Amino acid sequence: MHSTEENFFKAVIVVSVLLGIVIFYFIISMIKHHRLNVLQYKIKIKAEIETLENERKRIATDIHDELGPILSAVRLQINHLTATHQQDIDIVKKSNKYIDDVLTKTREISYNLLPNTLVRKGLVAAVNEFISKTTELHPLQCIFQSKGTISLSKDQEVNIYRIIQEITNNTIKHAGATLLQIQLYPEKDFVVLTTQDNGVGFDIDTKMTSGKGLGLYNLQSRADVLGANLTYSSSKKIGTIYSFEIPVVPPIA
Amino acid sequence: MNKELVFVCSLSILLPLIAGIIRFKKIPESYYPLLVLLAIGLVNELICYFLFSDKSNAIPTNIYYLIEALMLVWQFRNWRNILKDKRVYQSLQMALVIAWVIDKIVLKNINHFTLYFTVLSSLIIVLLSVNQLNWLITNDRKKLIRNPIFIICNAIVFYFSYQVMAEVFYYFAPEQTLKKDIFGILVYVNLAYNIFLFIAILCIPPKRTFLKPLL
Repeated sequence: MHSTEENFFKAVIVVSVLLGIVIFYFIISMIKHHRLNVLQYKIKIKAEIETLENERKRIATDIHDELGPILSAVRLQINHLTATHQQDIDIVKKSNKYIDDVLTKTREISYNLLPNTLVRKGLVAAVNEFISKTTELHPLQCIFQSKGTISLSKDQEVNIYRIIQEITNNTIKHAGATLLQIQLYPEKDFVVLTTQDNGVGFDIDTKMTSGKGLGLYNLQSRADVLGANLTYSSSKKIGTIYSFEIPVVPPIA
Repeated sequence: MNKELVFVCSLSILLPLIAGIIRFKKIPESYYPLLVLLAIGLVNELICYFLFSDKSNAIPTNIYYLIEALMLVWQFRNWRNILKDKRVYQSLQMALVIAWVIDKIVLKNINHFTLYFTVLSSLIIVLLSVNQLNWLITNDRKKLIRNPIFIICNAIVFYFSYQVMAEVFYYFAPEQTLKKDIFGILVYVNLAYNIFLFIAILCIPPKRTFLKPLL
């Protein structure tokens, strides 16, 4: 090679090395920024969900422990009234019925905010209870199956319970489905939660870009807090399928 | 760099291809364009080595360049990002075909290596990769380093940037020996690209089997 060509080749080598350095730095800085971004996002979303759950717990406790006894005391007081006229007797009866309705409603609200079964008996029992209550109220056949020992922290159980609640509510409101199957089982270091309905499905892209996919964002946020891998697919033929691979050890303790 | 060594290095395409074949049933359909491209890449290498060893391999290489660009654009379409709009995707595919016809047939002969289509298609593919990487940074919440799309896009940025650079230098190099030396760099870059693709294929998460018979 002549000296001009040697110089040309040296220039090529130098440019190659520089390009390599730029690409390498590009990749490293991307990974670094992404890690920081994900960590900040997870801390933020975890704090938001924890605040939400704590507030729900507080309201549920207040309703159950304070409002309930007061209403029971009011009913007791009304029952102690000695009504002589038929009109008064009817008013007492009606008042009793109203107070009973209010008590039932407060119990329902308290249960929806934080089911006692979830706290006392764990996730599987709470989901079974939720499913049986749902099928009583709506024309949707729900099949819940679980197998093996599922050992999760209380926070993880609450998040999984909320996911199942969200999916069931979405199925009732939007899917027009007659069947919803839910499965929960351990697999290596994960707990897998899968759901499938036989509804009309939805277009994922349209849902995400139209700003109407709030339910999906909620599911994604819960999945992120759990460090879970969420996959979903939806079409008219197969309905909507969600799958969560939840690590037994959460990423942010 | 002798032909045998170049051929052996180019056979590194077997690494991701074999990994793809072994894991084929587990790999989601969205990655099939990449697997098809690897298979076509191997066929092209074999054709170039066995059928065009003593003459210019411009014809199979030019055809391969077009297939490669179309397959990669299809792959990006499957990742449902910038090309999720069917019209944008089809327009891009059409534009690539038109550019190829103009460059390889109208302006020059398909028997010759030309610069414009290779540079244009590489640039488009690099830009699509950069866009996909940006999307991953803002939307992905898992470890990027194990994300197959992240690995593939970085490999693409790496390989096609070098390809653009090598093509330009190759085109303007004053002498044949020098052209071969420049091409030599691309052989090693191609080797690294195939290794990246191999790692990416191993990192592809298996297709999720949904409801299983329980109890």
